[in-house]
Amino acid sequence: MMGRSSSPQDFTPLSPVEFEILLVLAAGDSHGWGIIKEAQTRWGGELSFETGTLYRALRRLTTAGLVKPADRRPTAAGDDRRRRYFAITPLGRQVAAIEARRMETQVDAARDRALLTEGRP
Amino acid sequence: MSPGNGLLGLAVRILLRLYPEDVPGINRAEMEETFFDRLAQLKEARRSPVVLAAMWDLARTGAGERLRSWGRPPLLRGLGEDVRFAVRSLARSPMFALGAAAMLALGIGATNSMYSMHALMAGIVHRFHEPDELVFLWGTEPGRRRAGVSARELAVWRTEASAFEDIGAYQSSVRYLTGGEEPLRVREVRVSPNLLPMLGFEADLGRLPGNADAESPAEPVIVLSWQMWRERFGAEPGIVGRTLRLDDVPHTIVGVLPEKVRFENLWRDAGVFTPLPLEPADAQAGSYEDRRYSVMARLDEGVTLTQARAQMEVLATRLAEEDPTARSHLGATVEPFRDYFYSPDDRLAVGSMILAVLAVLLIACVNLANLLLARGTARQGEVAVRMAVGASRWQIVRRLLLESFALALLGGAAGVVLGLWGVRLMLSSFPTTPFMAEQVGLDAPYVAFTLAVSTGAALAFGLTPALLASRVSLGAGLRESGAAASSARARNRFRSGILVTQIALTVPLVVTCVVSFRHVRALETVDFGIDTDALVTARVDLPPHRYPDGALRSDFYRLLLEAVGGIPAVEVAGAGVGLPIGVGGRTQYGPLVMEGHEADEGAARGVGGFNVVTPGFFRALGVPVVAGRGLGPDDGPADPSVAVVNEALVRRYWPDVEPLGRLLIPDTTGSRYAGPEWSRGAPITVVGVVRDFGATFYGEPPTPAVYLPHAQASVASMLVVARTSQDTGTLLTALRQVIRRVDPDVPSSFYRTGDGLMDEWLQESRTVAATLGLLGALALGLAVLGLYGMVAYSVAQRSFELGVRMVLGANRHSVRFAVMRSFLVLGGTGILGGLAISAATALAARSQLVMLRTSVASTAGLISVLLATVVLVASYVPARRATAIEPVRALRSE
Repeated sequence: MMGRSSSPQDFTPLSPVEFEILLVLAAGDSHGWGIIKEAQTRWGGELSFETGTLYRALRRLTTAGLVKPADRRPTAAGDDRRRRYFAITPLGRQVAAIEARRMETQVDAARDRALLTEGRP
Repeated sequence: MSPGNGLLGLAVRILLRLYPEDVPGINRAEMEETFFDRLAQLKEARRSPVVLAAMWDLARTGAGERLRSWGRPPLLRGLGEDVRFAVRSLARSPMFALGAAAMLALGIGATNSMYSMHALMAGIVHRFHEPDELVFLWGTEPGRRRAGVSARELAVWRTEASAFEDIGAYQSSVRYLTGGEEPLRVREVRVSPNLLPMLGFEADLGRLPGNADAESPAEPVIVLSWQMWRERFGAEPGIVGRTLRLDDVPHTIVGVLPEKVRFENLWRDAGVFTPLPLEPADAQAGSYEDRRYSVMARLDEGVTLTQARAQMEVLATRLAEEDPTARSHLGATVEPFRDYFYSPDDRLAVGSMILAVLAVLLIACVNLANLLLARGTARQGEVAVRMAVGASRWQIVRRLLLESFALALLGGAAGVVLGLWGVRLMLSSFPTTPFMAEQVGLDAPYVAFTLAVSTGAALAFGLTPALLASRVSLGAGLRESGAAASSARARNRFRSGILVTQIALTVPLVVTCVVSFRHVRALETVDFGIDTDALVTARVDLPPHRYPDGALRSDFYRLLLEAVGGIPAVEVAGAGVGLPIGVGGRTQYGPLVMEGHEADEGAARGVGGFNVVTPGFFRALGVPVVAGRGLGPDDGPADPSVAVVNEALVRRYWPDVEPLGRLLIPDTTGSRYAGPEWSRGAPITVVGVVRDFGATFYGEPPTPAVYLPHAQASVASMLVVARTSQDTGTLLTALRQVIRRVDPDVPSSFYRTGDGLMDEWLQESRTVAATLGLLGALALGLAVLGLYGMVAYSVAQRSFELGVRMVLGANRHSVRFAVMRSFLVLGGTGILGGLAISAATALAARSQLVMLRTSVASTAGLISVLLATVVLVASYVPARRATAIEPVRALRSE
């Protein structure tokens, strides 16, 4: 479990869903449905997680202080007043960066071992 | 964008309730929006698996979040470790664990069997649509519980009885499927077109008979029963539209009924269903006595049974006033389907059996409680150490309770299997219910019941020992000298309670089982008055289209019996409608009025009461004529009408007068009674008296019976009986050949030897006897083992105290006597309680089983002596051992 007063490293590795949420929120505040849509777009519709899993991860991230309810709403045309928006915290950005670097190291290692020469499967 | 409405929306909102509120990041309303936004995005075709997956996801995560929000309550902390501990602790003493689980499995299995039986019986009625509204409307007729209804009454009910939403009728008869190699006897049920839909049945294939079918007899149609379709036509899917010849008339098959239309006591063995027109032309003019229909009805919305009954009463009174020629007893008995398919008597019987097996289970639990108590005592040291290092009392109790739960679950799992096996065995050995055995299954209520019973058992035998074990004083426990601990007194009190309870439960249970067992067994040795040793039987059914009148039928049976008598091994052959050892049959004759008696008294019915026989019948059965003569070849159709009666009839109607020459007057008010003598009402003279024969129930007196000569009162379906001097097996083949030779188109069945007949007749009671015997033996075995162990253990616990007494100079014999006396007092208390319960049960059961008073008393006495002996021996042996050794050694052992 994630504790409250710990260093960013303690939060990694993140679960795929948690990392996805942080990635989406790093680009701007969003609500639950927005996170799912955004993630789906980036994955070409392949990745999808269901509502329950999403909110459970949001709860974990909120409790851990990586995500917080957004103070103000974006003024974009897509604003939906019924929605609750989430924002990434500075700690959340740090953790996401650490997780990205951790994955980068692993991807580099995979490349060294010629696992990625044939491109994306 | 569209929050879900309807069922899915409701389901999702319910699932969302799983999520705790006031948790950061979670908001139910928002989640609902997101959920349906996601669904709206998907194409219709892909939806259902995705919806299910999404809902499963909600349920899973919701449950996880909810559990998390509760946190771990302090009472459950360390539960996993305790479970492991309990399992390990049981695995360390596998003999104890297996023995205890086996004991429980037997108790739970027996309880499960009985519950399963109950669930099965109670479930039958649910094959009908809204069964609580369905009732039978029986006609009323003295001496019959469920009489038929006349067309005339039915017509009045259908137009005027507003208490019912719908009223339908059926009529069942025997027909012959012809056109094949051999004619096949089938049961035909004619149903009014509204009947099957009213009951909630639809055709499995094709359609049901409709109104149009009922009105156009020129194009007869039939619907097959499911069994007929399976067994005769190999479940052929294209059967609809084919033609069948029924009594040589072609019928078109229009449908097949579903499998569930198969009942033990309704339309039994029905092969075909045909339409019955509900408004026959003669409905107005017909006689009230022509009771040809059975009637079912559905109560109107909101109408109670009482209201329906009241309305039928009013109608009956009015009809009687309108038509003074109609005799009394018009009106209807309203019987709910629920009572018909699971009668209050059956419910009582199954209920009592459930109580009995629960008592066995309770005895098993009491024994286990005692075993656990002993284990608890042995583990006082362990308990004291745990408490000393800070374990709470709850934690101690929980650990010990978990052991009993583990045992109970083990026993329950085995009990599920045993129970299913038991009820299948029971059902398949009752000749009346073989197909019900196929319907027994492992369903949710059954498993839930088992879990409830197992949990109850675990609490029953685990709680008190666990509480007592946790009531240990630290110092005493650590010193391992239980004798000084205050908890020892509590344990002794508990143990005394167990001893008294166990004896008090065992006595009545074993007494009931043994007495019932003895009565059922007694049936085997009862002299039925029939010599079945060298007997063979076969049933012959004369199709009405080939043998339409009495003269033809009489000629056939005369010829047949001559041919059978001509078989070299046959000494004598005869025929009767049935045999009063469970071989049924029906005549269309009756009722008769006995000379000097009122009309209603003399209605002899049923196969024991009313039989049509040929001259050789009594000789073939070995039944002696005690006065006058038997029936002979001279009692032909042109001769004066005669009859033979049995001794029971003479005792009841003419106890003080000479029976020979008395008259029996046919009651001709009903048009259903056939035969020239009957419509003339010519009196029948009694020419002989035969000895009573046939089975009676539990000491009831034999039924009065009348035997008419076949030549004067013919019937179509008769049971041929032949007495042989040789092997009965080979004679069966010869009998079959002879029947084929006399008329190859006549169907025959029921080829049995006399011993086979008796076996079938007795099988049901044998199964009952075996069940009761097993139950009694189980209870007694459990009780004796448990008692001995408990008493011996208690005395052994007191070795130290006995040693002290000896050191102080007590007499060896007086010490032993004191020990035995204390246990005898406890045992005596239990026995007195048990005898009181036995007496109460015997009084209550008297209406069910006519028990002999001496039988109960002697059995109770025997059981009491046995249990008292067990207590004495169990206390004497260890007391002797404790007092036989040198006192100092006993003290040193502590």
